[in-house]
Amino acid sequence: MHPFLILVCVPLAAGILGWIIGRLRNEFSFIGAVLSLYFAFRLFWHSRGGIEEFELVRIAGIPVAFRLDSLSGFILLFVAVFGVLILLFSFRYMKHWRGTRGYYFYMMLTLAGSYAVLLSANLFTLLIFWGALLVVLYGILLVGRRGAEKAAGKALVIVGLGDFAMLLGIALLLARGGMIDLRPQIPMPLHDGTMILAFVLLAVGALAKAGSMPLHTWIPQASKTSPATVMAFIPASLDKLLGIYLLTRLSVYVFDIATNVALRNILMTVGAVTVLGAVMMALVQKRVMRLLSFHAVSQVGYMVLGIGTGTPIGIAGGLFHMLNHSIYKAGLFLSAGTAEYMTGTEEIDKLGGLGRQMPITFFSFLVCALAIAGIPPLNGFVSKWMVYQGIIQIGGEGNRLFPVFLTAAMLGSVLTLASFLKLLHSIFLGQRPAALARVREGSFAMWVPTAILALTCIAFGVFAISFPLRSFIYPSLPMIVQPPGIWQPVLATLLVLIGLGVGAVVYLLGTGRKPAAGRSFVGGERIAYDEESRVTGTAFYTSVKRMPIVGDLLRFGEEGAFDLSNWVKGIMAGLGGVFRNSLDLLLDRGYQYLGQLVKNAGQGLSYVMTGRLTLYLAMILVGAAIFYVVLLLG
Amino acid sequence: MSFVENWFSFVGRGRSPWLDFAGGRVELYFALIFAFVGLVALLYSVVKIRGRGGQVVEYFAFLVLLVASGVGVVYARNLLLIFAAWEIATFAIWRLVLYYRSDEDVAAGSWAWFVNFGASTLMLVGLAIILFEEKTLSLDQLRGLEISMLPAVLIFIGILAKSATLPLYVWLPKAYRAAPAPVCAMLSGIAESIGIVLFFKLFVMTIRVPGAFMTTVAGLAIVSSLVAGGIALRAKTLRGLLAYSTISQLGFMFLGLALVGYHGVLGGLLYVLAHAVAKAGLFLSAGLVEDAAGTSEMDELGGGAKRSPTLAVATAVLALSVVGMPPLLGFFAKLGVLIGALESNLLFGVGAIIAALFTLLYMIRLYTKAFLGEAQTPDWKPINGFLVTLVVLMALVSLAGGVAVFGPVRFLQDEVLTLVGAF
Repeated sequence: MHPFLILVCVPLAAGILGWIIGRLRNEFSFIGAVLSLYFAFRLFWHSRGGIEEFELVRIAGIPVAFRLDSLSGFILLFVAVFGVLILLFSFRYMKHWRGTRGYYFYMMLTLAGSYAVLLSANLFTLLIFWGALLVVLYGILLVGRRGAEKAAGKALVIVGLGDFAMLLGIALLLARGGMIDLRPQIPMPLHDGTMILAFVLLAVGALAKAGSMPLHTWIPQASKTSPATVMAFIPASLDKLLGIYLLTRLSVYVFDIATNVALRNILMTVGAVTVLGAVMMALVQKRVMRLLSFHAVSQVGYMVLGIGTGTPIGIAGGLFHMLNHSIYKAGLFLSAGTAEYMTGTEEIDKLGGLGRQMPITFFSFLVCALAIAGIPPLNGFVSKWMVYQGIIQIGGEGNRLFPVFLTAAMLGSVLTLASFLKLLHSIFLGQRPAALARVREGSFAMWVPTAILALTCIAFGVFAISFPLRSFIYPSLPMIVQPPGIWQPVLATLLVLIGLGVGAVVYLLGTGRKPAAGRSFVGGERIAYDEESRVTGTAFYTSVKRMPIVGDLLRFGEEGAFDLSNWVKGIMAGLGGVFRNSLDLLLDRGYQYLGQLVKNAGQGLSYVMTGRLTLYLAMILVGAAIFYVVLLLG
Repeated sequence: MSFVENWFSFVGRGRSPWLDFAGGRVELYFALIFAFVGLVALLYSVVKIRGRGGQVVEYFAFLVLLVASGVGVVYARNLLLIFAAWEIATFAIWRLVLYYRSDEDVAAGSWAWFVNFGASTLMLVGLAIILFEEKTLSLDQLRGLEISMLPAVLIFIGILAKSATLPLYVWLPKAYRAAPAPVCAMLSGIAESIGIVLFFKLFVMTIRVPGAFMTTVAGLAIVSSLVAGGIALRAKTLRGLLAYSTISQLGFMFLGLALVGYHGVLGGLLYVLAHAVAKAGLFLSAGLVEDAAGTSEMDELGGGAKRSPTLAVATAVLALSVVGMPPLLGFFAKLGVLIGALESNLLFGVGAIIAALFTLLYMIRLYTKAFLGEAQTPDWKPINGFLVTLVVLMALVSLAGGVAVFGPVRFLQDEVLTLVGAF
């Protein structure tokens, strides 16, 4: 069996076996995931050496083929890593959920489908597995709390919309003689209308998968009902890896995005709007998972911005940000999931002060939160820095809009930090509610994956240039990337560490340890540190809600006014109503009147047809006479 | 494959110029679809259909007659013979639809009869004009001849009625509301496909018609597909939704076949299989849900997945096949039709994709209302396991047909290629 097929079939077989033998589902899926990690690593290693192809079958002249190159190679590896880590986390976390048999089955199918998508050599093959992943997504979203079918239905509508757009784009390419190969010799330039349309349709599919605005609304919806592991695996890591993988493929390999400035500007605008819109929504959330899910949307904006610049450094930055985002966002969802599992709630109001009891989880969450906010020297900073460089570079090429994009990106970063301060305060710092006094650190299977992800964030930040960029990102792009400016991560880390050391010395020697405590005067009342006076983080940014236009927009957003799936459903249902109440009724009535007419005509005839023999004889005679006259004359 | 063909080779050339049956792979393909759907409906009926003696005998007789007339249309090589089989099908539809004999059922049966019969009378006039102009009704002698617009339109009106497309679909929703579930399955699997078969045999394989005719057919197909998709989205009952869905899907088949291109025709042919199997399965499933819950109103249904998980999974597969999600068969059919549509006109492709979006929305609605959420009806009667197995069988065929889609494609592609090459 070809190694590609083995990689796809191992998790598939493990999933099916685990589903049939439900008792051993944990074992089967873990073995499947670890085995597939092994094979993925081998393929990744192989992909350094060169490109390998394998054609499975040809359907009506269109090949179903697989190919491995350096871009798909490294993403394969990370998909496998996330699969193993999140499965490990699931064993404990998913214990109390219903429908875990289906859950493990769908997880393994998702893994297999993602491998197949990444190995696809052309768009047709990719679309088959892309759609199959959507079907599995629908299934896995149904495993959840009450009301899960809403999120699942929404995901099916939005991602299905993207799928249909891709279907149309691929059919367009096939019908108009375009290439559907994902790695042609020369990328197609985006000048003629058909090609631009095909690119836009395919990009819509990629963005729907990645969860960019306005195709994002299923992600916050799913965060209400789905387990944290599903959120960490699918919208946080896998969908970013696959969606941005496809967008990179399309804009660098299949088409040449650099040839069309207008498209690049549109793409960057989508990115900028996504960054800002989603982060504003995140600020005012009251639930941990929902807040995180808005960040999973917001960060896509940076990747789209980076790729939209069309410059080598920007594209590399977008791709690196995709990788970083999947690492820290999976870490965030998992550590928040640990807190949720141990406390039994994910409402910000009911959490607080867990840092002391859950030190490892706190550490992981802190590192990942700083990484997503782009604090140097963590990985999120490096990739954002590269994206900024890309934007500045297009400014140098004469793009007038570049200050707008740059401001949006930087402002988004600030707001991200702000919203994570809120989460850090209200989950791990602040005052602990009395109900959570006996909460302990999560079990081994829960903190190990989170800690690994957090440590990876640090490693990928400190050694950004020498390790992840050099081994994963640069080789996977067909152009030469100039190193990102004057940023020296190792040096910067040292400086940060020195700064932290100096700070610690000042803290220990100075007055930091013994702050002057005095009674605060609040109207003469003595403040007791009890449940009544506990300050939660929910209300941190309520002032945003009171801002004149922004506040209204946020309210509309919360009520679903910008929800594309609502729009689509509403418009389609409205059209349906029009069709039903006009055309359908009209036809129905029309045929009824026609029937009535025939009936009335029949009644008219009944006056003539009286049943008298002589009359019929006379009619026959007259008829025969006419017949003969016509015959004789003609 | 050759084994199957040899097995069916008793279908040789007839002696008389009128009673003439023959066919190649495409005909065998259609006949197998009809036989399969007919068999499943028959098995379902054996369990489900109860009634007074004579009535049941009549029911089964017409059930088999409908399959026979479908196969007759597929293999007949003479238009008059096709017409005879066609009218037998009309008659069988009439008798099967009014099986329960309530006033509404009889009215629905009469609608089916009048619309189909009226349209096929016009078709007969069209055949007469062809006979008058070309001096023959044999398909072999008509091959490659160009016929004028009038008979083409008249024959096409007959096809529109049987295959329930825009101006003449009105009988179908009424019939589906009245008929027993297996008859609904037969209607969408066999009776509706007969029109597609005739369209394919006559307009695609045999005669040449003015180019404007085929473009009009494609346009009409898309409009019909869009309108019916919209109405299905607003349907109140399971059957109503599936009925309009059938009308909407028939538009895709016409679209694929009308724009005689390689991928379009191949996609259209695959679509017949995908739709016959999936929609028949969905009707059987809807019948089971209705019987168990005691109602067909979607607002009163719910929670079916908890009561019968197997049925729910099978129904999901069937619905996704109709929507056109890979790796199910419906996806490949839809892709073929889309390529065919885009080869001719961008607007056709966009219309088709919007119709597909309608399909997605109403199928989600059907599944959510019937199977997910909380149960509305407390007394859910037990479902016969054998009947669930039949639905599962349909789902498996949809899945296997998609995973191994190269099978049917290889079976058909050479004939389609010669056919398209001839044009």
